[in-house]
Amino acid sequence: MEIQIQELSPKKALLKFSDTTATEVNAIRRSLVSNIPKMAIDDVEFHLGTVHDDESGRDYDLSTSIFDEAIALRMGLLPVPTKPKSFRFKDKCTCKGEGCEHCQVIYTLDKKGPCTVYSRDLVPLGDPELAIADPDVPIVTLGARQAILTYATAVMGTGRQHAKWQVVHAVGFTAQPKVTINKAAGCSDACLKKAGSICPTKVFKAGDGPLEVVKEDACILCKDCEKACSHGSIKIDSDPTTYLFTFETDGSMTAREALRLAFENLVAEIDDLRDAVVSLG
Amino acid sequence: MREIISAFFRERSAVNHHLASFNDFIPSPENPFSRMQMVVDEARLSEDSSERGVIKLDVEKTKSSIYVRVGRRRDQRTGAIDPTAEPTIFVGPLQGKQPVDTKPAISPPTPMEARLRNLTYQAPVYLKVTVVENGVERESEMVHIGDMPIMVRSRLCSLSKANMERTCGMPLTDEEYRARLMEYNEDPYDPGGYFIISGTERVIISLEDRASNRIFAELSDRYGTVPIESARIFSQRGGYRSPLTVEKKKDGVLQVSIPSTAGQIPLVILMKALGMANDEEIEQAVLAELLPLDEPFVQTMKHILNVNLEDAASPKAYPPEGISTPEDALLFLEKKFATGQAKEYRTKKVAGILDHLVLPHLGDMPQDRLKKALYLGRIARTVLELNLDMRKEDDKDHYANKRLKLAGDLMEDLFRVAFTMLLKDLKYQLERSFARKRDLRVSSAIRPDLLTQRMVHALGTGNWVGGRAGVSQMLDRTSYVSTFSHLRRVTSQLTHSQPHFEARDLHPTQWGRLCPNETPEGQNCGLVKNYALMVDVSEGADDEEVALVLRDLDTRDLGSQMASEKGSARGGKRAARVFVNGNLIGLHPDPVTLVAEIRNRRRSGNLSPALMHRGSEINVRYDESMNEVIVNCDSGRLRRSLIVVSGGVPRVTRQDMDLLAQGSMTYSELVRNGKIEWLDAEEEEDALVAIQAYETPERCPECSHTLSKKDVQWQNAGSKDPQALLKCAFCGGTFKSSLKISKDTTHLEVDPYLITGVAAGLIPYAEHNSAPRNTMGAAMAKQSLGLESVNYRYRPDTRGHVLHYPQAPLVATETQRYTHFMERPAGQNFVVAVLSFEGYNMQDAIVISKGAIERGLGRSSFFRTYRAEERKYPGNHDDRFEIPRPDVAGARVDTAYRHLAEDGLIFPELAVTEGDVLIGKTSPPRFLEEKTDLLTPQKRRESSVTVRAGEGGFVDSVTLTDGENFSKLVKVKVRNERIPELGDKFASRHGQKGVVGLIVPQENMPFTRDGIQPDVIINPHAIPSRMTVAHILEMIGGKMGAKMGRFIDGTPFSGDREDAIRDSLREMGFHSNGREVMWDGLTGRRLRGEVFMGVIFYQKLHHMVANKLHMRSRGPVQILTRQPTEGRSRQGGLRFGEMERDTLIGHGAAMVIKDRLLDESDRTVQYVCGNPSCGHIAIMDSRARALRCPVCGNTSAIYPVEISYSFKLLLNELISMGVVMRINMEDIR
Repeated sequence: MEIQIQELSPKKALLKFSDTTATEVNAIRRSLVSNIPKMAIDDVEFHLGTVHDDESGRDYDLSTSIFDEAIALRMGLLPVPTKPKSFRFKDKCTCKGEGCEHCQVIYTLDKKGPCTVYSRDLVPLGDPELAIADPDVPIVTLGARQAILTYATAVMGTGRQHAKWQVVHAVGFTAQPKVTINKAAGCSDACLKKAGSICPTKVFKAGDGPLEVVKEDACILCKDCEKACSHGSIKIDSDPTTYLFTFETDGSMTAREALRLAFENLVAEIDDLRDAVVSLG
Repeated sequence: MREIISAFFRERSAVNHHLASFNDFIPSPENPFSRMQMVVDEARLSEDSSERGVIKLDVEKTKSSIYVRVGRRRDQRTGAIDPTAEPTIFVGPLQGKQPVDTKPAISPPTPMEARLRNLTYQAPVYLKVTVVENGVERESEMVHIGDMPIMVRSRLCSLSKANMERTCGMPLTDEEYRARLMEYNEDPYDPGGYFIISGTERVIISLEDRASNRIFAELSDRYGTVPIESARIFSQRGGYRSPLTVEKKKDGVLQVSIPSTAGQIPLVILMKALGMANDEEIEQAVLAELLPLDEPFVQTMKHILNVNLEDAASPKAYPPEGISTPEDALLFLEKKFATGQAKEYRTKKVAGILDHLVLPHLGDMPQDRLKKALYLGRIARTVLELNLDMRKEDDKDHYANKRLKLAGDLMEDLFRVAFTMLLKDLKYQLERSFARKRDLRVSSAIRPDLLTQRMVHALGTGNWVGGRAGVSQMLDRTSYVSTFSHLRRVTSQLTHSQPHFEARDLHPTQWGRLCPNETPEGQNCGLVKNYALMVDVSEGADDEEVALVLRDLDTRDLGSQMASEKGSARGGKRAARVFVNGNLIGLHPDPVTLVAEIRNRRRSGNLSPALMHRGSEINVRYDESMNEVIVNCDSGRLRRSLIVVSGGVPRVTRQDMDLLAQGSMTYSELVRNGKIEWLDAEEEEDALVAIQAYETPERCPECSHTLSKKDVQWQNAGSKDPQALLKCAFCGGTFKSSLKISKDTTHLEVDPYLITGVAAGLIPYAEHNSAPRNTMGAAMAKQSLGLESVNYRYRPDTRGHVLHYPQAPLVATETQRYTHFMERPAGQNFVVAVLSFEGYNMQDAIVISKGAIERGLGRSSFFRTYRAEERKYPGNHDDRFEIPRPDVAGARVDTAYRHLAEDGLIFPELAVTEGDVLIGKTSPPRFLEEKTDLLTPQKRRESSVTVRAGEGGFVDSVTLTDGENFSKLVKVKVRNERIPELGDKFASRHGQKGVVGLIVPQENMPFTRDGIQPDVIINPHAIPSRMTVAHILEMIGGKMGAKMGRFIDGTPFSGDREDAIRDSLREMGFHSNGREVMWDGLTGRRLRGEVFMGVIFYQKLHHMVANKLHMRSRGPVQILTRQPTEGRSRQGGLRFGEMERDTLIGHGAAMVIKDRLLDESDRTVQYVCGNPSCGHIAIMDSRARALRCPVCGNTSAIYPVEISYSFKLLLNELISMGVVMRINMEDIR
């Protein structure tokens, strides 16, 4: 297998795997989606009753238009920055599940209305670098006499447990499209041009000269152009050994880091499998 | 023309019919002839008293002439109400009810307070009474006679805009008004139009009825095979309704049937009894304006009439001498209806029939009898015309023959009965107190509870006067659409169990009036209907004024000079008969001009000064085939709005539409200027309505963009140009197109989508679907969960749902703008793939992505409110909210009360499960006894409120308040998060429903090259046989909308065109057919075919597994039979029915049958006396500690026998009837 990086930004990756099979690429995809460990808010403690604000002299009701469990779900989905190797699973931590700085992050949220509460309002206890990766996620809108006071604890998990521990989104791949123009008998430039123009992803370019393929990778294999030229001049095919692979992360870690973890996991799983097979004798 | 619709809804709410009707009912300074005042004016204590609006005390009891006037003063001579007289009945303002000991006045209640405190939202009713003693009028007195429930948002409601403006002393903009409503914890988009009775919201459903006081010609075949010509009329006066039928028998004799009298009366005899002395008069009454007399059919008619006259006069048929004088006729009736009674009684009985049962709408006094005779002649004439093929059978289902009774009309019926009851009681009380102490104080004699209770009880239960049930219903708050639709529902009077196929059919006259799609399936199909979007129910105008206008326009009275001039008419035609509300008022020589003139005057608003406001209520039609001019101005006609077209030119111009769009012109201005008018089904028969004004080309000739009907603007609307000048919305270029309006066109449809109602109007591209799917889609929209109101955290509904992430549909319709569906949506836009998935979406199941659910897809919360009241019992005992002490009878273990505070109430946000105590409460003992040596005094009972079986969640709120009788009232709301699970029901808007069949981990879902994975996978088999083409269209429309970030217009008949969507899809980089190459999430291999995927609005329906899940191993049994209880709510058993039993018989599994039917049901062991001559059930004598037969006394041979308890019951029952039941036993060999 050979990997060619076509685009790699902190939150987005576009790769090309060659000399491989669909199943291999899919194993990487599945590992990315469900096996990368990441921190996410899992436990939210809400305070009830009224709070008094000394500055304004007002009393606020600690309740909102959204139910506590719904707010908790929203907070769970926020991207908590997860640096490599900085956290452990709670049940495998040295603290034996009690919770320590190596297996959990605690955030406080204390806001009084009227306002919209955003993810930036969650203040991490300790390292300020642990602030939520995307500061502009709205959580809830508070009314004039409403307030919110919560403590939220983030722990480590994987996408298999719950979507909130899923680092990578919009993971997809396609076999490398192969677009060939081979002017058949009876076909004209006009016919080809017409066929090329209906491509939804603009794979072809028809300047003054003959039709040429300019963005082969963009082809969505819809074969409209193939059908448009009745002479069979355009052929759409795909290479089952080469795959274009794309994904995004939610911001809790970089795309590169996610990919590295996915591979690590995959290797570990395969090792486990081999060990298991071997142990069977 | 969409500008017109939006202007209409700026002015009127969608429940305007309820509000307007109720406002008309309630008295107010602006409305001196309110329905309530009329009821009071017309009130009578007995049917035959001649004085109205007056209570006359019994002369014998009081020995003087005393009467109490409650109605308005009447003119001494004519008996008509003095128009200058002061009103005598008043309602409101709303008052806070306060306990005696609180000093500060309680502010008037708001609807939310009524809901929370289980109050009735009502206002006091005052009556101005004047006592006249021996001709001396005392000073009038204002008395409180009871309370009247008030419709929310009506004129009297504290939340109506006018009242809000009054309280804050300044005019409010819509925005400010909404902000104020929110201060009252009210949803600004709540439509109102319902009542609040003891805390529950109740709607009065509009009632569809046959038009009264109108003659219907029909062929009745109830006497066998040969149909008989007959004419029926439902004569109605006030709340009293009396049908009357005239039939032509085989021998030619016309017979009349009158309700609650046996048999039939010959027409001639009845007319004579009504005072028509000679035969010429009768002939004149029947043939009346039918001159000249030389036409053949007139001769035939005359002949039939002669047969009738001869029959009545024949001594053979009516011995001894036949019937010729009114006296003869009356004697005949007396003999027929009161044989063998005293003369006095006989006379009274017949008078009662003639005055009250025969055509009461013409009057119920002896002086009205001649009028009735004349009218009977007209009915007879109808029968004869039907007989001679001069007219066809009337269409009973034609909407011109239907009237709607709205909240105001029904409240009027109710108030009339309640008020009469009150007056009767008042009379009795006054007579009594006068006899005792010569006291005539009305205020102390009146019992306000009588009226209040009657009104509240009827509204609270739906049992109306006249024995109708289900008139008021609990408002459906499942979703905002269901509330809206419920407020716009119409039910038919017809019994729902009978077939009535014609009545259920969609009638052409329902076009634009009632929704063609929104009706339930099953037994109520076609009988329960819903309004179309833009309708109006007429409120009625004074028919006498209308008759005056018609006289003014040369309508001649019957029998006048002109009529007898051999009906001379212009153009050789006979003069046309002119009817007002079904009453023949005269003849007109030139009906076409008359009708045109009335219409002209109506449009210009100068029919008559007296009809100023109500002029547009009048509808007129010239029926050419019958040569009749039909003018209607009564209430309850369902009308629709159309653009007036004259000479091929619509009166609404481009300029008007621009002004409407800017908001500087209102809809009612259009009506006032005669540009738009309301047509009832009768007048529409005269109209030629163009559905579209012009042809819209498929593509713009300028920019070749695809054009839908909404993408062009009619630039020269209102001009005489023979071609339409259209402006393209994309390039701004103008081009010409052909007009579809001809010279004969009288009206133009405002927009065709208006034919659907609020629920069917939600379906995008509905015109592409098969009709039953739209009906199902409309039905399911009412079960969908969404944001039903924004005050859901305050509302104390017993059950309620709220969807966590409601979304406005990407493919929207125009209707949604006016039903606030975009602000109160019920559903979410799902990414849906049409694909088979491992067989888990067979038979309409859906496969749903676990990842999507975890991100909040389809999440909802369910509320249940538990309530308890500290009731007071006689003997100074009451319920108490507290933590029951251990000595209380039935007290639970300590831990059961661990959640409760000192006051017995639970804390909010605590997690609770089934059986947990929410409200700790104790009640006084059932039977109060003194302490004796043997009996200890009964202990207080535990009567706590606990969480229902199978439910649980978090305590959402705890409300402690005062109830109606100032006893403590507590409401605990428990909320439960409902995450989609296997078996939950989802549906698109196209009647495509399905339950969740599998929840798939996200990594296993198929994906595209961009990583898009569907939320839901539906089965391809769901589409072809059901022909829900719009489902497909919505999917590609939604896909484009999602990609482009805009809403797609899916309005039926004029939404975005399919080719436009497909073009845009291609531009967005998708294949235009919506299909995509997908990869299997499990193997990574490419899926063989291409997968159709798009975005479509899906609704979560309120049928959820969590509400239905049920199992039982052990559980409660019924006391009587000892069999397991029935139903989930009682933890009941699952019935092992006959068919299940049959299978076991088939298998020969006898022991399994015994196990199911006996051992696990009501098995019991009874001792049976072994004495062969006895065989009764024996008993265990507890004192002797021995078995004994109570019948024969046998104590030795008694054996235990295993039987079912129900069999033992059978034995007991038969014994109680004196049948000896013996069980004879023998040993098993």
